[in-house]
Amino acid sequence: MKYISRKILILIITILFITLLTFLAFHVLPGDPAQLILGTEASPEKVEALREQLGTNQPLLRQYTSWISGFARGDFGTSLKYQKPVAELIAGRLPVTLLLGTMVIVLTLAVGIPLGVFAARKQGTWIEQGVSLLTMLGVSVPGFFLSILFMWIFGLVLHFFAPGRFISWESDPAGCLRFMIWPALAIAVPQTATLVKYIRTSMIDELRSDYVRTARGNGTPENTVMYRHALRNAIVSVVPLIGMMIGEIFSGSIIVEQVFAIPGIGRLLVSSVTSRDFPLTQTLVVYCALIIVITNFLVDIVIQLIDPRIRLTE
Amino acid sequence: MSNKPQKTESNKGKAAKAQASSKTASNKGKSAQPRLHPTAQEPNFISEGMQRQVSAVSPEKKTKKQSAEDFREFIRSGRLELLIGCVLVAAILLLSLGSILYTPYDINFMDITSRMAPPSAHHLFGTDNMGRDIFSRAVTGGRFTLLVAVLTVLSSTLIGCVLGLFSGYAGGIIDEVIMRVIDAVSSFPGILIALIIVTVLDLGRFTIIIALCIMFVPSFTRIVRTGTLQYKDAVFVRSSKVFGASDLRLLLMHVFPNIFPLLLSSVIIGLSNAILAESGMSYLGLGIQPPTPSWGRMLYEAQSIIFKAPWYAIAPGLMIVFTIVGFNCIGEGIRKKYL
Repeated sequence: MKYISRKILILIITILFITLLTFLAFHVLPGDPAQLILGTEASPEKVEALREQLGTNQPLLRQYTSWISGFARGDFGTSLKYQKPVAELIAGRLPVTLLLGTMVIVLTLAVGIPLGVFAARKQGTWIEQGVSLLTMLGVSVPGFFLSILFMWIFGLVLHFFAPGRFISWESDPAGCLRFMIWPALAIAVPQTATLVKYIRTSMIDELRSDYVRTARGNGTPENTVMYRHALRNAIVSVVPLIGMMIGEIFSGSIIVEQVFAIPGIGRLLVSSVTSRDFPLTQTLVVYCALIIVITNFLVDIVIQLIDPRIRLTE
Repeated sequence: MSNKPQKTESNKGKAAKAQASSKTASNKGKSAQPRLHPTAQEPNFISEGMQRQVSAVSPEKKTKKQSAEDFREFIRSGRLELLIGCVLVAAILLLSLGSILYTPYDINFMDITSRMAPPSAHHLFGTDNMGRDIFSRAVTGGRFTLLVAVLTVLSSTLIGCVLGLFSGYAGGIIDEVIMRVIDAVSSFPGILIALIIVTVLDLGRFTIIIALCIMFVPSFTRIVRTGTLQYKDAVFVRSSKVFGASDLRLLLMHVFPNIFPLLLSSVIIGLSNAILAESGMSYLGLGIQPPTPSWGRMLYEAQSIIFKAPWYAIAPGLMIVFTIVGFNCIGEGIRKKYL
């Protein structure tokens, strides 16, 4: 319990810092947001009106507190470009990004763990070298380059899907999955490569440990040693990586959504940046950071439930 | 080993003449040497000469096994990775820096008659939708992409070192504050930080450097801080403190050199991350601004004409992949060899 309450305290502090940093970034760095949005040629009246609308003519502390309290009430402000509440915009796009993210995680785990174990089993053989070569390549290919390649090879040449024509879940679930598998793969490849590398290293470490030698000495079948003993411990040491991956996957989806023209959070974020829609960008940034921080928090809790040893060492 | 002296004697002249060439390696008299002087044999020990040399004394089976073992050792020690990495990075650097002196075509020259031409002798990687030579643009783009990556990593390493050394050495409340801010910054997914900075600063030609720099500072700070904590109470640091060394001297002359190898490998891997991030941002149109070419921007332009000119995407894409593989290999190699 002490562990969890400490974690919650850290979580709250981190969230406060995130909002503060974002606020400072958007309100102190640019000088005058209204001027920046409208450009230097705008008339003073217009700038003044926008200042009023954004509330930037009020003292900083007041702005911050009203923004935070709005956030807590679910009032995220109004987008300048779309003239719609930000909450509404997010609600429409979040499911798409969540679906994409879930597919990436499932793909990564389903391919990464078996491949990592396989590489560890074939330690010192050419297969292992081959797998490390693949992981090296996988880590080095940018997601958006893979996306473009997929679009060209699987979309335009082989006609597995129609590039640029997003199919929503509501209209056709199977078609949606068939479309989303490609962006998901493009994001998953680098993640899988990283996971394979970690699983392989931690499996090799576990296989060298005393309890594995004892188990083998007792005549435990090799498969039991592998999967019941070594893998279980190896996975525990890899769970923190999964927490980190969520951030990476999100970063990846920002760009890959752009390539495949998927109407998700990432695309909304990029369009808000290019159209200088300050209120929307600011909220989206905090929103995304919160999702990631909270998932990381949950991962920490889960690790602690899986492996009580962690609680003792902290 | 027993037959070694007489054979060496008979071949003394030759052996002295060319020790490093693989011809000499086939000299029977030197067959027992690799164990005695492993370093002398390293550069060419997977060469044919080595195999012939070993087979001269031992049965065929052992030869294979031994050279396979040597090769495995070569891989395990990280030298193979260093080699591959250096070759790739050197090639990319040569091409990119060479573009200052010479490119086959001017990067902004539009040849209307040969738009979207496939790769040929005239245009090595073909031309884009405006008839510009892709090879020239790719190598020039490499120069800017690499410049941004190097500047980003250097500046963030510098800031990270200062913050990390200071934070780790000072400890207490200062350490706590710095680390909490660092934690908060790094809880944003990387590209998000870059997006914020690009939004709030005017999108200048190199705003991207500031954006990426802030993105990379946390990891370097953490590495340096951990290292500082590890060494600040070491005996050699404390003893020079007794001799009256100043804090600054302790940090720079005693603590920092010990962190350096780890930092170096992180810096090189950081370079590949910076290239990835830069090309991502340029792809979104938020990195290096046109008309300056960059790999990410070229990929963005390639995407719209991918069906008519697929080679356009291949050239910058492969350049990115090779560069990143190169830097990753060097970083991993250093880590394996020295840590």
